[in-house]
Amino acid sequence: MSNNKKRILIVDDAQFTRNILKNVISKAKYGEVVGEASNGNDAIKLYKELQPDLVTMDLVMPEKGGIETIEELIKIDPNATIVVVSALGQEALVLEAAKKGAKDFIQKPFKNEQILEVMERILNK
Amino acid sequence: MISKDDIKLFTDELEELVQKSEDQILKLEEDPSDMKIIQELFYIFHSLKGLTGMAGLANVSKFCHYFETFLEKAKENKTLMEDNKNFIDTLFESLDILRTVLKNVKNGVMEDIDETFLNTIKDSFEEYASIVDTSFFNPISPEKVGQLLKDKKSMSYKIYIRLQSTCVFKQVRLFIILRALNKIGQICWSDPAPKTLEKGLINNNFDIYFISQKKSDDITKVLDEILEIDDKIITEIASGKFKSLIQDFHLKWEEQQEDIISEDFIDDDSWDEDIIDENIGSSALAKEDYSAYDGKITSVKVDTEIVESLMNYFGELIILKNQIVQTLKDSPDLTISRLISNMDKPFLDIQERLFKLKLVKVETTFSKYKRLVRDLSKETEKKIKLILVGTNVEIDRKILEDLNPSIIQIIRNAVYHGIETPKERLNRKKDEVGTLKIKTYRSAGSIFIEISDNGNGIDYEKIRQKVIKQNYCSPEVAENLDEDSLSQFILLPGFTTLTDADLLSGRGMGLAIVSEKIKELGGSFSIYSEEAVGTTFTVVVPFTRAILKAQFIKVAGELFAIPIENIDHIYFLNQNMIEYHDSSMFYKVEGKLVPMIQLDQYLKLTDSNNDSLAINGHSKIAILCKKDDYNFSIFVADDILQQMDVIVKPFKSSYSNTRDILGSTITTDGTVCLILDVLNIMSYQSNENKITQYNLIS
Repeated sequence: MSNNKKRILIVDDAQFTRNILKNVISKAKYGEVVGEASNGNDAIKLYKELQPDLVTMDLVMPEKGGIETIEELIKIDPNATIVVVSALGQEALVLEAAKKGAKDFIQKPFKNEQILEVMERILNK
Repeated sequence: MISKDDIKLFTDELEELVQKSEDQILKLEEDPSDMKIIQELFYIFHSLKGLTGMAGLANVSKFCHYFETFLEKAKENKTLMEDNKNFIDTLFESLDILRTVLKNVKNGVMEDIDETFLNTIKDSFEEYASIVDTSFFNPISPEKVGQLLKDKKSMSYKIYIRLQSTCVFKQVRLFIILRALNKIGQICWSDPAPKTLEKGLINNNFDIYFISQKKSDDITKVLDEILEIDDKIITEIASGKFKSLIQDFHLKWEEQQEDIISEDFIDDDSWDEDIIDENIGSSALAKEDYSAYDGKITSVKVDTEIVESLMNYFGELIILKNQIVQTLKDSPDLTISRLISNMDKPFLDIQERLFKLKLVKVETTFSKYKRLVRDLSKETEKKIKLILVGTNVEIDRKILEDLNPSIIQIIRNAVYHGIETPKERLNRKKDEVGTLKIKTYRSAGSIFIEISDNGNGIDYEKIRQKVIKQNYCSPEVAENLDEDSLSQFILLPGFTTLTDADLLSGRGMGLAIVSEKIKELGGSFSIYSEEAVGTTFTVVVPFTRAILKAQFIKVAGELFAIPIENIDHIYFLNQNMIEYHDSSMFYKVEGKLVPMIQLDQYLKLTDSNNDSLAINGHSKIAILCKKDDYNFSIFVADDILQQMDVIVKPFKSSYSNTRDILGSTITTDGTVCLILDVLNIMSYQSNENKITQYNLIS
């Protein structure tokens, strides 16, 4: 178990969702939210600046969708760890995201435990 | 078992479908983005699957099924075709498999393709398609499993996985699991079967059969990182047991697939409209547009034998009609004579249409040469582009068929000896890509086919050396031979300037046989070449041998006919226009000297050698015949009679040693009349002159 807190970037166009994610992650002892983005372009910009350990990615966003953003992030950093946060009924989209390089996914509405599970399984290598 | 008639039907259909697919693949090569071509190919192979299945060629049918699947993937995933060259090559190689089957069938052998071969093909398809594939679960083949297990370091496992009941996106979940496993080993199979699993589990648990060099703990660690897995159990299985498990799984799967394939047939065959509709819904074509196949029959297949016999019978009918006309045309009864003249039009119409039946566009055969050139250039590692000009020219179906092997031989010649390698071409400051051009056109009643290349050209000096070496004539004569004469030597059997090592395209027999075959057809063959620039082979064949407009003539009291299309002009023989050179007679026509042929002497109908210019007090007839813009001859006959449309009964090949006769026809009063093949006579005469030159001297 690492001593350093894992640095997490949250990408979602809904403030509400971002807040929930922030709260849950803060409660976990080993993760902290270092940045928030409400669209794909900001997400890419922040990723370059912050070099986070994990990115949570919403798929449906204006201007630049989640899939495109994932593609670009993987180009910048092939080892980028991206977890897709999706709505129900988006299976095809999520599959596409996974093929483009997303590490895993959770569905909205998610339970807090799920976020913690993400921290544990995916970040705790 | 299938009857002989059915086999013929099968062969014809198979050939048509195979040719159709080749045309489509060639089109696709030129325009890779055209999805309609893929759709068309899909439909063709779907038909092929049904056809071969019904004919009892089960493996061939399966092959078509695999090909269909392959095309489906290509349709869905366009990146599959981005590596266009490999993709097209794969398509062609698949087609060749069918061509081999077709060849065997035509030779009377209904041979199915080998089981192991079929599996190899299947693997190749899957391997190729899995490069970029929308279906992500592609387990390795049982053969590969066997190979991998030979390595002592490899271990085989059964991985049991149970997903959380809350897992909704099972497909994605599966993808993530497989992706992780693929990083550390090879997935061999699953239970439920991969294709079923891939579509979305029914239950939450499944088994993955897996080979890896990693230990069980390492595999657990990898799976630990994945969400929504409730439970996982990794069991190691002995390699022997593993292998037989995999084989059993495959067998069971194949059996299920066969049921699916045979379902396709049963529905395809059914006449019940309801079932056909149902099947359409369930087949992969369901989403596509059927308007192109709405059932309008715009053409029918007709056996060429039927066309031939139709022409023969109709020919006899015309003769009978002509006889009636002759007898009744002078009848005082107006009704009768009117009826008689009314008969002409429908006869003429039918004649024209039957005539057309015999004709095909050269395109039907020439378009196949694209494939030939493509394969030959690949084989010889040369870059060659084939250009076809005048593919709309129509020619007698039979003549085209007979001509085909000869043209292929000429093409092979051009590729092997004519066009240089890309390196040589660049050295000569030529375009790296050589051009082979086939130009077809009609002129003076004949079809001209020019096959030219912009390659090496004929090395006349090499020929000259060979002529001297092989003692065809004395060195002095050889020195003075012009290029035209030297070209003639190429046509002699056994003559070749190639070393033994070069003999790729034959044993030096090729062109000799071509020359013979073309003569047999009543045509002629010539070569024109310029060193380092290129070579042109010209094939001339009669347009058709069916119906001819003929000019009847009398020679030494006998009746003959000459095709009017070969006649340029007819004169009364005028002594003043005759000139003698080298003991040959020439006639002055528009300032040029044209060689004369005394038909009575030529046809050996008279013993006398005197060149009489008149008969029975009036002058003979000089008929100016044209072969092409440079070759004319004057034929001397005793008298000219009527001009008429005649039905030609061609001589069969075995009799066509008689180079002078095109065929025969029956006149209105029932006399058999021979039709002179003036073009051939002209060719022979001009060659005679040349050969006489050096024969005399040696």
